[in-house]
Amino acid sequence: MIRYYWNILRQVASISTSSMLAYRSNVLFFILFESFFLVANMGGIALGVNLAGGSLGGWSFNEVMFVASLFGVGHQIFTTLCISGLFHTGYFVWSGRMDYVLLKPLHPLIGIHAANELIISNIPNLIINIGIFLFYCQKIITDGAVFTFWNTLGLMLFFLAGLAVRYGLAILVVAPAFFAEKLAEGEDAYWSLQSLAKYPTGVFPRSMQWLFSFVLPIASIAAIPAEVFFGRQNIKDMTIHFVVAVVFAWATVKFYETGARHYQSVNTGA
Amino acid sequence: MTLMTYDSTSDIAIEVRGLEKTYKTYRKEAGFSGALKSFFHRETVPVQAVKSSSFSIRRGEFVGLLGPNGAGKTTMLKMMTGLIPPTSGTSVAFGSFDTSKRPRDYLRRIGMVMGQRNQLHADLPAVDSFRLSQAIYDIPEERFKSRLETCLALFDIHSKLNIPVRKLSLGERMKMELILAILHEPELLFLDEPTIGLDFNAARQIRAFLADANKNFGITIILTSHYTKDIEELCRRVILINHGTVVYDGALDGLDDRVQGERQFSVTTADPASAKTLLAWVQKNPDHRIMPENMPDDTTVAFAVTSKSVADTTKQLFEVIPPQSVRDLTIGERGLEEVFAEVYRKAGDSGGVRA
Amino acid sequence: MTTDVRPKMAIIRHQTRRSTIMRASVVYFGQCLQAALMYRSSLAIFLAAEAFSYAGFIAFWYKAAQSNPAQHVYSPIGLVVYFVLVSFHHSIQHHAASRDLGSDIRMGKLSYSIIRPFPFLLQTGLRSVAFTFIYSMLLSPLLVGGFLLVPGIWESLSSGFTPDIYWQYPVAITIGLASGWLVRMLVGMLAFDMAQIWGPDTFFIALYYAGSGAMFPIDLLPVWALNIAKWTPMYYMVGFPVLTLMGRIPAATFGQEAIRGVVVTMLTFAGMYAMWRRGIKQFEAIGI
Repeated sequence: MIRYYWNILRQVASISTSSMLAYRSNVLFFILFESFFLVANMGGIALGVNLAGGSLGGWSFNEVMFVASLFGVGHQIFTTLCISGLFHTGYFVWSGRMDYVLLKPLHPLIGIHAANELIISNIPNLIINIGIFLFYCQKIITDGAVFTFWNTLGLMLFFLAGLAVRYGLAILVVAPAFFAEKLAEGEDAYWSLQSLAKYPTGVFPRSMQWLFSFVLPIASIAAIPAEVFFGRQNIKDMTIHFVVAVVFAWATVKFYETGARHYQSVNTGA
Repeated sequence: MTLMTYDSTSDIAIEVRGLEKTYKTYRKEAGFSGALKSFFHRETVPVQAVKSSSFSIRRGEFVGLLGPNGAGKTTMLKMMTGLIPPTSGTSVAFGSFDTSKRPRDYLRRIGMVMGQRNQLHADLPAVDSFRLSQAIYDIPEERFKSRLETCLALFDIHSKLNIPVRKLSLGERMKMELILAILHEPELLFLDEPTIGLDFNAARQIRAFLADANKNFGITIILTSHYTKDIEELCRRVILINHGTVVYDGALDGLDDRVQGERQFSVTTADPASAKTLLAWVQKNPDHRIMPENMPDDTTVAFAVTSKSVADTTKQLFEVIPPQSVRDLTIGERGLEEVFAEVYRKAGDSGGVRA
Repeated sequence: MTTDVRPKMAIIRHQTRRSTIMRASVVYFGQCLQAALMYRSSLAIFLAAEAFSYAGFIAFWYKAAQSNPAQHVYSPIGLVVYFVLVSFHHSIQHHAASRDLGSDIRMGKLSYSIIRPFPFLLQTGLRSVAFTFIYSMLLSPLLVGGFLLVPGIWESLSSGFTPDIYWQYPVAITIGLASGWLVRMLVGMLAFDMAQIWGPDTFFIALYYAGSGAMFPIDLLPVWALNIAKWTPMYYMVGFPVLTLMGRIPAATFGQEAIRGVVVTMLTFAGMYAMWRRGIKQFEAIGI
């Protein structure tokens, strides 16, 4: 079973690399995009924290930037591995190409990824963001933070849970394509929703904190892994957040499966 | 998930019972005011695309699923593949698989090609898509190479294997699509207008390929097409659908007889006088159907008779005018399109014609 | 045909063509509006996501302003006003215009359009105008509701109003929408040379976020950075109309900024038109 899926992944990676090499300029544009976007994104956050006097909601400047850079790494991993498949769902449903995806002996999500590409061109950006994350790791060490086995393990586990929430969030906005006549803005909706995750939860009012922790758990993407690392979460809350993240991701996968069963093929309307 | 065990001994490839499909669509009035009204309230219109259809297809058959545009052929096909769920009825494949549930073991055994859509990666050579298919269907390397080589040889298309798909012509692309569909050795192949838009030569090669696949690989093939050449050359059995209902299910040969098959005479005489004499005789006989649309000049007489009276008609013809007055005589079958049109017309009158 | 009849016929033909184009434009614009209204769930998801996203921005910047109100250039309420207005101005822009144009060029729609007596650029312009119109209509109730329901933000906004706002804002928003459309057309026209334009399109999006004021109050940038941004079309897309409406552009400098905006827009137009002419000459109508 592992060999089987590994072979599929290898072929998809091979196709993606070949396709990237056919459009080499995209590598350059992706790097340029990331450079400017990083400046805008992190520069904006830095500007806000500086204007607030160097700390925000109990988080120091470096801690806020640590959260933002952790968010950036997760964002790049998701962009590299997942966006092509998921964000083509709407187009595939509308154009009827989903027919071929659903005829494959694969789970619909694996099928849609196999029918698309990995964004190999984005790997340099992933490396850049990992570099920035490591930079802020070094900054918080200078401020007195300590990387122990447990808090590092907690950070990694919750980071993975956060990736699952990202994936689930994307499914949440693209899967309605199976039920609608046409859904073209799923991708834009995803970018809008996930942009909230780069801030520590403390900046939001309590009602929004609750919403982003337990209903639409985008806080699990970056803020909660950081809180786990800094020891700002007790065991009970950590467990609840982890379970909520996993359940959310699982529920969205089921939603996608339901959509695939509901699929009516093109020219039929839903 | 219900486990469905594949029954390799079942000689039925697919069995359809009472299959129905009703779609929900929306009516919108023209103009901006209509769009605004529709934004707040939509008028839903149910469309019954397929009405209670039943038939069985045996392994190894090559069946044509025919009908005019909007008849329900593609809907029927997609329900049999499991792409869309039926509103009611069942479709069972190989005696074991409920196709509406799209079980993976069933999907491994089928292939599909849609003439108006493709699944090959446009920017890369077809071989890359073949390799991905090999991984998805878990085809051992030796079998993959052997099958690929056989298919490439059948189409004589080796030289196109490493060219980006978007640079190929339509015919070449369709050949690659067909190869992709049968690489994993499916037992059941669904083809939705595979020759649409292709030139005569490409279509001919594809027909030869499909005939070979059916004969040598034993693949059961269900084909929809608007081209009568596809049907005539490939299908021994046809299922005609009109307005969502099966109006004929049987041998292609039996179709003409069933609708009182006729034979068409076209006589070119040496002079207009002979043609006039012949025409007068044709007009006197109520069993003759004159075909003025096939009489381009005053020396040609065209008429149709039932297939049973061909011999008598020929004999009588040479009694009416002497053989030396006949420059050319053609006796042909009615074109398939005319036969279909007649079937649809009679089905509209009587509710269906079955073999 | 006598010589003196031909000029009259030419005039008649010209007038007929102009009135035909105008009629076709009206019909086409109406159909763009209809198309936008057809997919309600798409609109709903987009609006909901935009609302969420800007809630996040507002929360962050509000907290920042609250934490150090004495030092902050914006009051907390002022920041809320800024992002509410930015949200509106961001959402009414036809962000997909470049992708749509690229798709039209590569997928064959351009081939049909250039053999018809209805200018292709006019079609794309009408599409963007229709998009802006629809989204303005849909978002306006939300905007008004926000100003009515959230205490203090209307008073904060209206305190910046001057009598000049009634002509300054229409000028600013016109420059903003025009420059936005033109630069997106420029990006879309790269499709004459490239099989896929989503690389440059993505890069443009980054420039937009960096220089438009959509992610942070644009006038908080250091002076040197702000001066650079003011010579790009991005500044005029969101930041300029929002700051105008909030009264944060002094009356004395508005004229200068508007003229600079017009110059930037004209330069963008020149670039876009040059690319269009070049692209059309070498257009091979091959598509994908």
